[in-house]
Amino acid sequence: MTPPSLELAAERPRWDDYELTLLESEPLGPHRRLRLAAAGLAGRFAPGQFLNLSVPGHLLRRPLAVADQGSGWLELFVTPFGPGTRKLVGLTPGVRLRALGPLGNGFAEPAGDVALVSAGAGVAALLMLAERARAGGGSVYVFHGAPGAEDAELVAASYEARGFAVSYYSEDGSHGRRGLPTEGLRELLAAGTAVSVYSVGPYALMRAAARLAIEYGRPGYVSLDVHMACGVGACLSCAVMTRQGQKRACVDGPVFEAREVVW
Amino acid sequence: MNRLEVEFLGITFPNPVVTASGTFNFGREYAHLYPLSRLGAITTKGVSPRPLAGAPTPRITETPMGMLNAIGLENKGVDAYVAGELPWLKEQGARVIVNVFGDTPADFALVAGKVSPYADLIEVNLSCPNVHGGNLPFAHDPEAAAAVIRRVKDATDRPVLAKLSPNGPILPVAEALEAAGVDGFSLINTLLGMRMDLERKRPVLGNRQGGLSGPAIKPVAVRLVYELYRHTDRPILGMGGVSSAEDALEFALAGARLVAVGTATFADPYAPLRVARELEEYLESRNERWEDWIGAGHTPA
Repeated sequence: MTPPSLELAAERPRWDDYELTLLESEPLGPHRRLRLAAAGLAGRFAPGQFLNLSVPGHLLRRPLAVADQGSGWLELFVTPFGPGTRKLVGLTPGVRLRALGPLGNGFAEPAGDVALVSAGAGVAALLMLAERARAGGGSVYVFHGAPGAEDAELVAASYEARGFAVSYYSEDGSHGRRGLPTEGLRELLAAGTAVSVYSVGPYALMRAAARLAIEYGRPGYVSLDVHMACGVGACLSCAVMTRQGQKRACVDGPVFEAREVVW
Repeated sequence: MNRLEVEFLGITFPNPVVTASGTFNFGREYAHLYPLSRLGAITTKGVSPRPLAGAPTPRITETPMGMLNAIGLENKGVDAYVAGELPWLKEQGARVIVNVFGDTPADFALVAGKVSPYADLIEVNLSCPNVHGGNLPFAHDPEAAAAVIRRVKDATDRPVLAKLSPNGPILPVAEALEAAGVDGFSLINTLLGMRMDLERKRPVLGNRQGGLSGPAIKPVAVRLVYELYRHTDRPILGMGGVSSAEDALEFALAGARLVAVGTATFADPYAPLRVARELEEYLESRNERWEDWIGAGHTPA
């Protein structure tokens, strides 16, 4: 089967700069779920697209996948990592921010059953995709790596709360099965299940998921997280080497076909 | 009356605010937000004779009031831009400053010659390594820099700006470039810097070191424009941390006729247009013209 073309997403709506207001900031283990009022912007993100969010007191914006959206609101998952994301998770509701969006090439419309392989807050990028796949009648298999139950709260509050069954994996077996979430994917593929594979998380995890998709001849997609400044294709910070040459994660991605990326 | 109109090397600019090289690509990414002709000019990403893949990632990282970048001069090479982006940019009605660079003086001249039909001005990036000079940047060696300018001047009929590096000796280089026939100067390029990753215990950037830009470098830039203005009668395009009309006016007082907005565009894609608008309002409220401010900071009280 030929993977669906990502070219369709090139007709995405033009991005602009919007004002957002923080409505809620909910701690979920070490992560946060931010809910923001985003008139004019919410509802326009395809699964896998992102926004570039201003951070008070910081020069550069932070690229974040949109986890969910509705009429006038959207949700983001943030993990405090550096000074910028620590500032973001410490903001109190009512704060006004600015965001460029919708940005990037998201996932093509899923067809059939899907397997999601993730770790960390990057799982945001797959939530709307999971909903689309289910709405299209496909089964959704979620393999998520989390070092403990606390780290998994974010996934419990999003995927499980929406009725998706999640298989958890931890390196020491303290939450879910011992091992990497790609082990669940391998078992699924080895059993002959005809899924499309989607992965977001640490580079090594995405690479492992991509290689499994290739090994089993299934369509595979990853959403690459590369340091970016402008988020719109101008600064060339987020270079990704692909079989078609060097591309920009912000506009040519962040979603790439597993076969396209030079791992 | 257009209070912002300014003459620069025989070209009339509707306002003095231009984009800085490498922060606006060739303008296409921003063209749906506002007409590019509304800006003073677009300075393109640096163009080399052949395609360059650039530096390993990460290529950028944020620093206090600034950012470090090591893009590694990634570009598609002059022939691709002459075939695509440059004619398109001219069609937008924008004034165009094409930033050029190469490994050797002949490389610079080749690029300058090819882009001239689309360039109102040529900006020569002298901060790249001189492959026949121990990879020392041209901007660190007055004679090597002058050799580049001589070749570029021979290759183009467009006015030539030399982009000066704060990491090299600015005044000796400027003096040598004047003797070589340079028409004007742009400054400052980024300041070399480094940031360490405590987890990985190594530099954050794939290239290890990078160029510091943004508000953090503005006082350095204003001071260097001021110094250069005292030593040259050639016009100056000033840049370094400009994100407001007040910033632009500081550069004008120091001696800049044009100012570039660079890193601020990453935070706010409307920044160059906003700075021009703010300047108009500021000068309107005081019934002054941009030209009144150029070099005015040098007048004894």
